[in-house]
Formats: sequence, C-alpha cells, structure tokens
Amino acid sequence: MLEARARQAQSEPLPLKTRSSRPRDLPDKSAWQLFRDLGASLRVPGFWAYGAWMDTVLRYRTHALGPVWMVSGTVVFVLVLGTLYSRVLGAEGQRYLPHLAAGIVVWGFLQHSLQGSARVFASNRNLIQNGYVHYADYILRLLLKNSIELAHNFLVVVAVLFFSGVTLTAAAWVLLLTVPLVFAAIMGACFLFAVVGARYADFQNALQSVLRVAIFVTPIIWGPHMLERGRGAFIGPFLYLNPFYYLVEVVRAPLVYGHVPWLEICVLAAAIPLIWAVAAHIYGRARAYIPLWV
Amino acid sequence: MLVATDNFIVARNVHLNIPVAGRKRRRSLKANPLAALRDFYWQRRQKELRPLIKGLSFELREGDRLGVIGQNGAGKTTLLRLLAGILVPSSGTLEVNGVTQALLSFSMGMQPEATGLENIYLRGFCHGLSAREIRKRIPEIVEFAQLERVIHDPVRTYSSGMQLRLSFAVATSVKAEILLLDEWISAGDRFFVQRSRERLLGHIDACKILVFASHNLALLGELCTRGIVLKGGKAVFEGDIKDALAFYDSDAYEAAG
Repeated sequence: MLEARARQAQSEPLPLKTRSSRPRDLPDKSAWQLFRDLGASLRVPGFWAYGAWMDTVLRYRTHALGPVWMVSGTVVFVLVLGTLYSRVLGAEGQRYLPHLAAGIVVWGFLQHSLQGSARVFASNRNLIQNGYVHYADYILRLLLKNSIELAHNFLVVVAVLFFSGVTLTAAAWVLLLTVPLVFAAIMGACFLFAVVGARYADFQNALQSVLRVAIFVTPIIWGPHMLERGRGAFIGPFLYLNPFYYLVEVVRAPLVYGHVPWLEICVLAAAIPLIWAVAAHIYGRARAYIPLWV
Repeated sequence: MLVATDNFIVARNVHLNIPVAGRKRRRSLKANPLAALRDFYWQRRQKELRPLIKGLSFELREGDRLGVIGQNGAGKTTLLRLLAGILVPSSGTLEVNGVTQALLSFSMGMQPEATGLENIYLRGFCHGLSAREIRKRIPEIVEFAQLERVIHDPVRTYSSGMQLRLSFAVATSVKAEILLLDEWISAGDRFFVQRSRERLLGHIDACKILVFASHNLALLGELCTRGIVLKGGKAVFEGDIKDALAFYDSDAYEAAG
C-alpha cells in the first residue's frame, strides 16, 4: 500500500483534471489544508473563474444600462453625499469628493466580500452536498466577482480625481503594494468568516450589524484630518483600533493625498500572517464538518 | 499488489461518527457568544457522536460493479458520500484512486438566470472538464437533451423535464473511472426514460468501477457483479450480487446486525 501511494505521487497525470485521487484518511486537521486547497483551486480555475464572470454578467444582463448599471450606485452616492456632506462637515476642499469616492469603493469591496463569505458555503449547499467539495473555489469565485466590481467602481474614483483636479503623485506607485496587501488580508478573513458562517447561522446577521456601524466609524464620509481641530480631536487615537481604517487608508492616502502611510502599511502587513494563521487553523479543524453544517 | 495507475477503492475498517446536531440554540452565536471557542476546543470530547458507518472494509478493483443494498437509513447514501469525498472517515483508511464522479442527485447546481449553454459550461467545469473539452461535447449534449431551440434562453424558463435532460446529458458526457450512483431517478416522460436508460447504461459500461446504491433489486441484479448489504451502518453481507440479493430478501437480514 505504501508503495502504491509512493508511485501514485509520481504517476502520470490522469486523463481529466481531478483532485479526487488522493488517499483519504482520518479527518486531517492540519492547518496546511487551507493552503493545499487554495493551491489546488488556483491550478484549476475553470469553475470559479467562469462562475465569477457569469455572476457578473447575469447581474446586468437584463438592464438597459449594462455594465454602467454597476457603477451608477457609486456615482450617485459620491455626487449626492459628496455635495451634501462637504457643506455639513465644512470640508469644501478639492479633495473631499475623491476622498469619499476612494473610501466608499474600497469599503464596498470589503463589505461585499466579508458579508458574502459568511454565507458562501450555505448558498452553495447543493453543490457541496453533491460532491463539489473544493471549498477554496467558492471563496475565489466570490472574491473574483467582487474584484471585477471593484475594477468597474475604480473608474469612478479615477473620474472623480480627474474632475476634482487632484493629480497623482509618485506616491501612487505604492498602490502596487497596498492593493495586493488589502486583497491578501481580505482573502484570509473570507476563509475564516466562511467557516464561522457555515457553523453559526446567525454569524452573517451579526456581521451585518457590525459592518453597518463600521461604515460610520471608519473615516469614509469624514476624514482623520478633520479630527485634528475642535471637539473631535480625542477620537484620533481610537482610529488605530479600527481594522477597517488600515484597509481603507492604505489605498486612499497614496491616491488622494499623495503620501505614503507607512505606519498603516506596516500594521496591515503584520496583520496578514496573523489573519491567515487563524484562518488556516480554524479551516483545518473545521473542513471535514462543513458538509454536515450547511 | 495494487499499482498506482490502476483504479481502485480500498476501505479498511472505516468508521464515521458525526456530532449530533444538538438543540438549535447551540448553533447560535447570539444565545451563547462563547460557543465558538467552546466548540472548537473544550467540548470536543464530551460531544455526543452518532455512528453512521461502523467498520466497513472492502476492496474494489477495475471491473468491479458493487451494488449497495439496504433498507432506508442503513447508510447507503452515507457510504457513497464517503467515497465521493464529501464526508471524511472518522477512523480507518479509505483510498480512492481514479477520476471519481458522483451522481447523487441530478439537481446539482443550476443557475436559473443563466442560459442553458452557460449552465453546460458551469456544470462541465464542476465535473472537472476543461473549456476545450466542454466545447467539444456541447453539440452532442444539446442534441441529446433536445434543447436546440432554447439553449440560449435562461434555464428558469425551462420545464423541469428540460432541466433534468440538460443536467443528465452533461453528467453522462463526462468520462469517469469510478462512478458513484445513487438511486436512479427516472423522471421525465416515457420517451426520455427509454433514451436516458440507454445512455446511462453506456456511461456505466465506460467506467472502470461502479458503486450503485438502489432499492431497485432487478436493476441491481442487472448492473452489478458484487453486492454489499448494509444494516445500521454495518456490512451484514458481502459477496456475489445474487447471494447478496437473496440474503437481503431472506429472514437473515431481519435477524442480522
């Protein structure tokens, strides 16, 4: 038997792409399972890539506006809230609209990914029960769909930057680092939330309540620089307790304010291994039970 | 000696215990916020476990056609779900070597808003095909499912018979080495039942190992060479399909276990 396994490892590729020919022993609770599953899913992108594309296309197929429909919500939000709140908050600078646009677009990605992941296994129940147990595929499909949406919405940010007359500085190059960082952090969190959401049916409701508050607590409509004067000043230090602050700021600061937020980038970079370690640990323990929960 | 390039299924003393789904309250975070920590660490051992499969051992080689026989709740579907990799044994070893296809129900994952063609692609990817392999199979799938005129319409506009034909046509156009088949669902009008039967038999002939769970004893006798009789998660008889069917029919089954 050992010989069979050893030879299996070096045997020729099977005629169809398959991930089902490994020996299945006891429930393997190793944390490496997450990385094995993720690697396997990345090598066979058919299902999740096509699924994400299909989800995107289906959303606006029946709309006359087509893909424009996807960004219209962001446009309306930025224009209406931008005009109103710049007066309310007395922040009538040229940077308020870009600030709002960049913040809300990143926020939308975070919110849809986290909320979607909390119910991702439950909504794919039928496929899981019928034997499609490549759990990482479902996460990747969700994230790719949201990334496509993010890419569309990002055009709004670019347009707002252009019309506000904010020019990009060299600091914008750091986006090549920070956007992947945000993506890595969210992907780890999605794995974690997907497992917890599969186990506890009310987790997605709890998450929804948290995110509903978080959008106001996080500097999206307002900005940290507005706190430096007046009565809001004491809130400043508390910003650093808000995980969403880092995720939004590392993308927005280089883009809108032209400075590189090194502190925020370092904190985020340090948090990512931590998020993935927790996610891998929980995923490894829970993987065998997912079909029993959903 | 089994060689890696062969297709085989080896089960040795496979047990499956699943945690009993307790009162609903326990799966709520609101009722007990610490439940998450407790579940993952402290209460593992105290958890009530229900054995679904109790020590199954068998070996299947190429050419074997195993019929899984037993009353409702005997563990037939659970066994198939173990072999399909959906469930993982709690103890013992289970090795499945080969491209496995599980046809547990034909309702698997249709996207109602997407067109028939898009669903063929999605289902094809689910069965492990590549885009090129799917494209090659599309004319034959559409022809068999008789959906030439409506293949660009959303699946939600299809009748249930059309949906069944579509998923059946996709599932049976895949080449599998190990086929896991649960209770053959013969829906559709009588013309389709006749045609689907031929196609399913062809699909079964093409695979190397078949594991078929059914209540249809005549069909089991026709398709299988070996039989395993389950009762309460235990194998009470294993052997030739004729003997297995005879055992299941006799009083010995009532007495066993």
